[in-house]
Amino acid sequence: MTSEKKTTAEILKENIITKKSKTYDQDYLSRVQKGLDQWKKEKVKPDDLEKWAVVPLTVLGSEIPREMIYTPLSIANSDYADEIGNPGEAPFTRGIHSNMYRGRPFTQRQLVGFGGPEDTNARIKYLLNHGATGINLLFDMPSIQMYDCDDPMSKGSVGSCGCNANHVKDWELLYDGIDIAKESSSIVTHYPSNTSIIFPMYLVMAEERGVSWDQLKGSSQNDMTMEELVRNASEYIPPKDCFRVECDNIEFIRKNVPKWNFITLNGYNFREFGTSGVTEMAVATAHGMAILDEMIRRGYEVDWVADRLAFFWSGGMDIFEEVARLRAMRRLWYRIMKYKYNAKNERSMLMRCHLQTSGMSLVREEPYNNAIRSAFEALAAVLGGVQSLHVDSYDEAISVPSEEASLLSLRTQQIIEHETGVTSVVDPLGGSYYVEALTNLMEEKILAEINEIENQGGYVEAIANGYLSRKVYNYMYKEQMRIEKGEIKIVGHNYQKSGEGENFEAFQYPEECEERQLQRLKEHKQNRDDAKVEKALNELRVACKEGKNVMEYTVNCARAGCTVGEQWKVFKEVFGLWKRPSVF
Amino acid sequence: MKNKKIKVLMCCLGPETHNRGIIVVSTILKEEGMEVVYMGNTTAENALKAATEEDVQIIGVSSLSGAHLRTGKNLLDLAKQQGNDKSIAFVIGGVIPPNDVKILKDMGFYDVCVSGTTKGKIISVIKNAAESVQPN
Repeated sequence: MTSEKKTTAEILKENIITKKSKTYDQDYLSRVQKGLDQWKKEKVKPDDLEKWAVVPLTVLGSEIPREMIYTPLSIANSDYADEIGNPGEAPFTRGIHSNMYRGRPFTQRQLVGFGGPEDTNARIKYLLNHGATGINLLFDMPSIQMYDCDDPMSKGSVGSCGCNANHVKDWELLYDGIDIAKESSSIVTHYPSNTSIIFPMYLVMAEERGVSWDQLKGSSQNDMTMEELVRNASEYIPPKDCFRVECDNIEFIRKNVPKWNFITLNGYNFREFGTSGVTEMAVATAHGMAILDEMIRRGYEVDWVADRLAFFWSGGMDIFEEVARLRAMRRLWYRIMKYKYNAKNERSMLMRCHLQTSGMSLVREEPYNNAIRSAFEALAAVLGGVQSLHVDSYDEAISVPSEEASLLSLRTQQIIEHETGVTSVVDPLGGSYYVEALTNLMEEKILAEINEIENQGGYVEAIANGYLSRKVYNYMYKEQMRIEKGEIKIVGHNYQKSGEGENFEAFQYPEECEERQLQRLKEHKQNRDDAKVEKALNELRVACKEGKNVMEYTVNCARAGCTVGEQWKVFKEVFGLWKRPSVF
Repeated sequence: MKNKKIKVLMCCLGPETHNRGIIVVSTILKEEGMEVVYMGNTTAENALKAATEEDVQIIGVSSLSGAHLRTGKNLLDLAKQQGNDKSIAFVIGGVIPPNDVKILKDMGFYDVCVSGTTKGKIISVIKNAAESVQPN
């Protein structure tokens, strides 16, 4: 970063000029202050005055101190029109639509994936038949890490924690009987490399069905934070190449699959790895800005990219913090897009997001308690105005969710939507002294951490030099010790513990799927045209070397019947391997 | 064995993506003065090869994706084949359903540290596992 280049915080500071028509006039505030002073003197115990601000210690919390009460004085400097506004208008603090859930309920998108393609297909249909309004597809450990099921690395892991899929034929089974022109799919490819390799298989399946790409709706994760920072792996490509693949994917998908969200800026897995909700948002925002900078460098208008950027957040246990930071993030993203990037299209300025309740907050003792945790987290997400939601299942600290547990998660969403009444008023917590004050504070903290990342040289460099790995490592270890000491209380786990959760029948994924998938891959390799496969892989190799858009070539690889593992080998060969900075 | 510094190889078998557990446990063992060979993702073959080369007493396996029974069995079967199942102690931890704990112990794992196991318990399991090792 050159010294004359301004930080995001500086740009915002110079440009945000509020009219400052204060919500409260000075006389009124003086009376409130007087009343508050008197109340403290007459009604508040000295002990409470001494501990006026406390830090709620929660799993993955931000450790921001909270006062005992909040009053108009806490938001005396806030201007309703400039800083809060009505929903659907700038700065979008109160929501991205004027009518929010009255117009369109949050998409109820439960994650699904285990075993082979036919196993996952059956679970997708089960959830759709029970009212799920979107598909959210997870891959098994080998597929997500880009090893074919016959790779020595995959032995014993096929079908674990997601669906195994090696080539286009597997995708046909995975989506058998599902109308891809109608159902939207979140394809959780996690990494740029994997998005580049796997998403084309979905596109080629569509092609073979005669569904044009412009009809496809959904999203791919395509997130470098996941590939280079969060994931555990034995082989990484260098951050600069990973970032290039990510931007290649964005460019290709934006041009050819216009309704597809080409990235969901990942906060979830990063936060769950071990960081606060503030760092989660700072990193995802810095990442979003790095993408915009690169796409502008490639010659595109900022709006061409920004109007399809979407975020993916983790939902923690601290209800008001969760609501406040979602509101803060909407305002901050608007401000960055407006003042830093001069976006013209309103859609570019909207922080659209999917949220998943926190898996880290779930424990194995008394597992039904987890259903309660997830429900509170989901409620906070809805109060915070998310567009799409996944609720974790109560058995997730023990196994992949059973059918019964998955259904309970979906029911949690349906109960929030239809039984609690919270969707009838937009941004119901807006105007709360506490929530507005905390929203202001969260925005400040997120911006301050964005500044730290910019001081490291920006998002890509903060990963390459190990800064972010160390930050996560320090947080996660400290948090783990706080849980051990009981400072962060988890009921049934380190507080009021009554057992070890011994008598619990966990879901078992069909382990025999490994043999099925091996057989299928063998047959696939026998039936494909080897010359075509070689040609497609060679062209991909050249494209990687020459800086051409990689997805143009991975699509041809998918058409030729290349496997996931074959393409990943090309990436590793051309880009070389990167040694991640050690945290120890 | 008593005076020898405890040396542990920490790994995930197969392409396990989760690593918070293995990082935290490795840190706990290091802080306790043990030597940790952090291998990350690997195959059963490579884990055993490295364990022999590095002369560790213990292989610690972290598993969160549900593949522990199959990957665990691969590791123990191979160790038995190579005659290393008594000269190395095997400990596994992570997201492991209650009913699988006994299956893993019967398979030959010295102990199973399910998610939520405390620092003190992990240290004592590793120390006891080191004691149990019978060098070739």
